[in-house]
Amino acid sequence: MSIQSIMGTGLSALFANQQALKAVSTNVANVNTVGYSRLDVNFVSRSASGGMAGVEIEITRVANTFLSAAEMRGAADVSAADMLAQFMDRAQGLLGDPSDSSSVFATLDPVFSSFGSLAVDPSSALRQSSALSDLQTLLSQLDTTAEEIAALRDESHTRIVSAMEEANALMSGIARLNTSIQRATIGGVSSTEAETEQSRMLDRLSEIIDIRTQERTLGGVEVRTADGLLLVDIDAAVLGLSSTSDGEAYQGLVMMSPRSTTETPLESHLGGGELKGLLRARDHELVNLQLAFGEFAAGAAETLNAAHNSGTSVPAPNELTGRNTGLLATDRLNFTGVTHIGIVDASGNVVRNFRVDFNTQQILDDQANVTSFANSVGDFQTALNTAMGADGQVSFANGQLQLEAMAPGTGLAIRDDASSPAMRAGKGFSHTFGLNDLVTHGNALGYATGISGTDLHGFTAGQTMTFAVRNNDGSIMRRVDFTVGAGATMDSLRADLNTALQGYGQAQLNAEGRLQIVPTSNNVARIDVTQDTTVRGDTNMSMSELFGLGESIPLQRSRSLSIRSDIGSNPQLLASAQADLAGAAAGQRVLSPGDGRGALAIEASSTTSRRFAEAGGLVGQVTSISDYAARLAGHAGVRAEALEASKAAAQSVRDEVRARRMGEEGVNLDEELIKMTTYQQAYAAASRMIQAARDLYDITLNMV
Amino acid sequence: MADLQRAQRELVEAARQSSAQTKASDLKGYGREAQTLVSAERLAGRLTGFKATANELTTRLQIQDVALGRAAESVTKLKDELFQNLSLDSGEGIRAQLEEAFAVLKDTMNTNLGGRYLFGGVMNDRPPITADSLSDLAANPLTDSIEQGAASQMMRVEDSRVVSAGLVADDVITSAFASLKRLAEMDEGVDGPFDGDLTATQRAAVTSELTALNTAFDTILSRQSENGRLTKEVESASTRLTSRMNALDEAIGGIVNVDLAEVAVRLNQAQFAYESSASVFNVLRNMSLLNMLE
Repeated sequence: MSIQSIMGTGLSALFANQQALKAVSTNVANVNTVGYSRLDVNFVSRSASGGMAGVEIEITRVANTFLSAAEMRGAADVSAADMLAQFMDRAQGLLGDPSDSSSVFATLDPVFSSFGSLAVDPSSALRQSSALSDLQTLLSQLDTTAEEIAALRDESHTRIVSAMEEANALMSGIARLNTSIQRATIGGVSSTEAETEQSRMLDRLSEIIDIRTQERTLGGVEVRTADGLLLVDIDAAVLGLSSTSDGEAYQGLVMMSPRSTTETPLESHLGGGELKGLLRARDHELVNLQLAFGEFAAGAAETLNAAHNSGTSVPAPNELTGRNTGLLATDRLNFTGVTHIGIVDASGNVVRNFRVDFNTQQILDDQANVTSFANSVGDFQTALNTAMGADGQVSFANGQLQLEAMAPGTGLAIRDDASSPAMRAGKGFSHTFGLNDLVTHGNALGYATGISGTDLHGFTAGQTMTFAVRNNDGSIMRRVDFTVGAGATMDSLRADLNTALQGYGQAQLNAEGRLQIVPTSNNVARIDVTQDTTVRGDTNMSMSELFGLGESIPLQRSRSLSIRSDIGSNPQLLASAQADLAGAAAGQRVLSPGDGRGALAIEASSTTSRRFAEAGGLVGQVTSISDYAARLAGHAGVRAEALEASKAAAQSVRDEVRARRMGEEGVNLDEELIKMTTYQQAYAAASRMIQAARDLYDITLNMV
Repeated sequence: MADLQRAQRELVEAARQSSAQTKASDLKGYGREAQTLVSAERLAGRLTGFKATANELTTRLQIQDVALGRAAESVTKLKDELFQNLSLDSGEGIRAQLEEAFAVLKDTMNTNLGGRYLFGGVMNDRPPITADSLSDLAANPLTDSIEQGAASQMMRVEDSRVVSAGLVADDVITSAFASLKRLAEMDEGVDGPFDGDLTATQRAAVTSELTALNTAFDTILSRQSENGRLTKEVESASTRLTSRMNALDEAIGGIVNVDLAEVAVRLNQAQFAYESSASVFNVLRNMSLLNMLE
């Protein structure tokens, strides 16, 4: 014990309080720095050889790992919900304001109303072209809206790529800081600045990907995904798009672990964050909207077609060319009921009249001649061709049925019987073959093919397809290859599909001949098709085109719908009349120019119920196109509202956690000011101590 | 600070509602009500279409009424004149009267509205009366002079209501034309012509045609009253449509339009919340130990 030691102790207190004041000034300086954890000062008394020898100081970052982990999770949830809400908000906005005439749904009404007005004066060129122009507006609006939803998906994809680039930059930054923190720790130097910077980067990274952090023994952190995949230690993983693609619309996301060049699929490891939200918007929510919108557009087109096929234009068209139905000549007819096919002259008088009875498989003409046919498409075509003789010609090739009236000036009229209409899979004769469609599309609009389980499937053994099993987020969980087997019937095709799908899904063929693959496993949401090389005979149609399997084909149905080209260029071909063929003898008039019943039928079709298949979260239902429009609007509105609400909920959780973390880690100015006063006074006291020791020295020296 | 922002957002939304007087401008804003709204708008669209058809039909029925009135009048006039001839026992002027009646009847039945013949039914692209003159009518069978077998045109005025849009010449005028034809045939035949005193045969014929013309007049009159009934029906359908549209507008308004009183209160509340957030902020700003540590 000496005066010198008092001097030393006082000096240590001076130094310690100086350091403490420095920490306080750093805290005060960073009072507004986001993500800054305040520095805490611990005084530790210094002991030497059993006696007290002053004080030393430790400066640490106040970091609450639990709260920061909770905030990271919260941040990830908020960003995911935010991205989803943003995209769905924009998507529902594309459908327009429901209360004015700009919405896509509002363009439906004028179409039906103009056909009602056409019925008032069916041969008016003005009314015909006005009906067509309203129809064209509807079709363009459908196309534009679908295109904009598709553009939103593309945009979410672009944002995924840029989010990955930002994540890559952040991860390599965190890895670099890990190295310098590690070096500082080993060298015994303070690394608080690097840690603060790193924590800021972690906060941003946690918004992009749902991450978990773990302290490393040598300083710094290890970053992993929520399910434990290593992203950063002293090296960083690299995120990117898969270098291989397998027919899906967007390339998959992959990750190369630190120091590795192997691509690991990333989607299934993401638990939250912007990336997850964007992926879910791209592969789930927007796809669902596209699918539902596709079903709506196809429903509108099919509603119009069904009604238009019941009518005939005046004068009757010389030739009726059907659409590619995907049917083969060997397919069974599967029709029930009766249809009337007439050849009429320019004044609408019957030249020939055929009553086709599918129940008895006989064609009865106006001269009481009977022609029988077997239950196949090809045989029916031959029989009708024979029955028509020199007056008409019927051909069937590449899935298309074609009827032609041979004598100049004559035309063809078809009308299903009023009491026992011809019917196959819910469609009339003319509609089944699309002989007098109003709206056309490159592919099939409806997938009720009328093919039954015992019919031949028509695909060639050895042709292949690849199915992609998608989970509830829309990410691909698995790919399943399928090869068409040796069995020739639809039932055997279905069984082969079930085997190939290994319990993920089941192929079902409904009564109307629609083949669907229904997910059977809990976490499987949809079964998509990524590749399809199957072709049905000479029709050039693949299995997915015929039955609407997967997503990319059904959702395209709202795109490029057009008015049948010959009607577009000659509005007189609008089927505004209906031919009274039932029982009409040769020479009897069955078509009149002032007859507007065909147009009336089209007007009435807006409230006619038809079957809508399950699409994009909207359940399958039998309803009218007007009602379906309302349900789709309600669905989109509610979905966007719900996502907005879940975003608000996630946000409030995050805010709460952030407030607590700020309370724990943040700088409180009052606290800092009190500390400053304390340290200032302690500094003054210590200097007073040194003064006292000096006085002691003086006294001692004077004594000498 | 967050409270301040939220208060500001609410303020903006309330201000938008009060200026646009609609609750929202997209599907999300209406949420669950979007379905009802879109469905109601579709119905309103359909009703507007029906209303337009009904209005057009009313105009057309009114023109038909005038034409039928003229036809009935000309038959009455012919009847009166023939009666006068009988009482004077003179055949003078009968031919001219027949010619006039034929011209008026043909003219009314061939009434043309925007290029379409009103009494043509579904064959409205050609005149329903094809005989050029009274001699034509006399020379050819009656069925050649009047377009045969045309059905009435059908139009929809309400969801489940399709009406036939009026009458076909064949139904209205055949009996009147039959009388004209018989008299014209007599005039041009062995018992003719009508000039000077009426012969006994001519007198008998004119007398019997007077009865026939009475029936023809009744036919035209009953067709006219049918036309009137149809007009009434379409008008009442039109009235029903109007009241349905009004009711629907009200329903849509209930969803779309905002209650201005409610908005005013909300606007007030939002303003109040904003101001109080701001004043709390202001108090907090001035609260610091710094002042104590001078």
